[in-house]
Amino acid sequence: MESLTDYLWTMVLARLPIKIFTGFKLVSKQWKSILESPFFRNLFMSVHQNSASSSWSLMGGVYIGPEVVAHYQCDTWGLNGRVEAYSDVGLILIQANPKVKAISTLYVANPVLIHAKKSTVKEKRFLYVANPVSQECMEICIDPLPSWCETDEDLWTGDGVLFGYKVILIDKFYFQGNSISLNCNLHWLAGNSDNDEAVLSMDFYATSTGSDRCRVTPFPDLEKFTKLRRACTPCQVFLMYMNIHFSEGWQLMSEISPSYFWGKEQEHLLSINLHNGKFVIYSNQLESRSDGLTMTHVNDLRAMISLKSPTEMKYVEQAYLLPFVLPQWLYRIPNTVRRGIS
Amino acid sequence: MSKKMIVLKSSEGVSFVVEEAVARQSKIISFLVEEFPDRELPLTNMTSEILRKTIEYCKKHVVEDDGGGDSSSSSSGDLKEWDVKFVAEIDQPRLMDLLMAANYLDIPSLLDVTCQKVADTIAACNDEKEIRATFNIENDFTEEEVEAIRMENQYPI
Repeated sequence: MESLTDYLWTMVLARLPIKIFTGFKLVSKQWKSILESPFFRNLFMSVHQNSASSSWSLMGGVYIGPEVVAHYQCDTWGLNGRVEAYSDVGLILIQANPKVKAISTLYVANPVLIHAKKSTVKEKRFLYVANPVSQECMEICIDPLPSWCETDEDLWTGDGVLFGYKVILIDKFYFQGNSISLNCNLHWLAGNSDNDEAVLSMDFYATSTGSDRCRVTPFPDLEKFTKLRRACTPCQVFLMYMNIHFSEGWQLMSEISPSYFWGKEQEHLLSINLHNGKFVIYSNQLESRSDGLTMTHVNDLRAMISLKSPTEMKYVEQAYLLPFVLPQWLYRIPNTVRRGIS
Repeated sequence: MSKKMIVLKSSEGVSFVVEEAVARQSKIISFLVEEFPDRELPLTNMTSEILRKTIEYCKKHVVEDDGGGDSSSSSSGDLKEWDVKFVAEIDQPRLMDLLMAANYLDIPSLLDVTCQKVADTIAACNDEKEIRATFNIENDFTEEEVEAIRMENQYPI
């Protein structure tokens, strides 16, 4: 048997997910040089550009515990959708600087996740660039970061480049709730200065630098309904929204099925088959863990996970989901802060 | 209706008489047939065994293509199944030879299935040692180099 040429090995290896081939640089010098070549990277990204979108999220509370629960599913990376406690990532992201008490906001950027923190002491802001898969993390002091500079949509505030990473800032004032990661986009419920609600979508895989990376989709029934709250949820490949009437509870607005909703106040998980209107309330799916945290999850892990503690109910109240979009390639982060370093 | 036949000759000098339509799935052969009609084509770097396998693949696929049209949706599923079985039955060294043959003869669909099969084999390996053993690759790193690469790529994923 003759050995394959570089070209043929490249064709083969580009079919593998990132998680698998990164471990295989040690096979031989030929493999290492192939895996590190720009040609391989380009081929890999073109082979995987149409593969299933990633679904990645971290979950924690304002009173964040030692753990962050991560849920991930991504064919490109070879991540298989398990729910796992990610204590290391949590430590890196949340406790990298013990002086920072308040976590003001989380921003997401391509290719990596950005955490912004506001120090209550010096009013100095820090960004953390981290990749939870490779567990690399870098702290950036962001004093020189551009201040809010509004675009025409009044919704996002500019985009700069820091250390070779794109940092996209979105003015917190305008968007409500958590983002939803779907089809390589993050979506937020947002409002403009007139309080008109819309869905703000950011395409993290878009290659252009133009404004098409950020889209604003107004709700189609703005005129019809005024006094209601809205909620969004991923539903298969769609983004579904619901109008919530204060007096009537949930109202279904879309005929896609099935989907899950987390009722914060009820502390129940609701699964609704929107084709026939049947629903199931999950209240006994609790799984006790030795560390005192209780994790609730249902059959479709993509739909919803939640984190609660039986002893500290504030966890439920404060729990929030931090979805993000995985990069298409394992970019290395310079000056990495390894775990355990604070 | 008689079909036009061409002759392909393996490295051992064994001649294979193949319908032209079958052989034309190889872009190289397709080109050569037009340039040199009525001549047998020597494929000096392909053994009879690999050439036979390649022809078997092409025969299967040419039949499906002929019967194609709108009704081919179900048969394309069957064809995929057949492809999977086809590569599953080939042992590792011959699979690599077949992959190289597909590349040499420029048969994109055969290259695709063989590449995927090799990729699946790699994904099933636990570590680099297993890969080296499976594909008969020599470890040309020194111990220091191995250590340096390990330090660089410590991903607990």
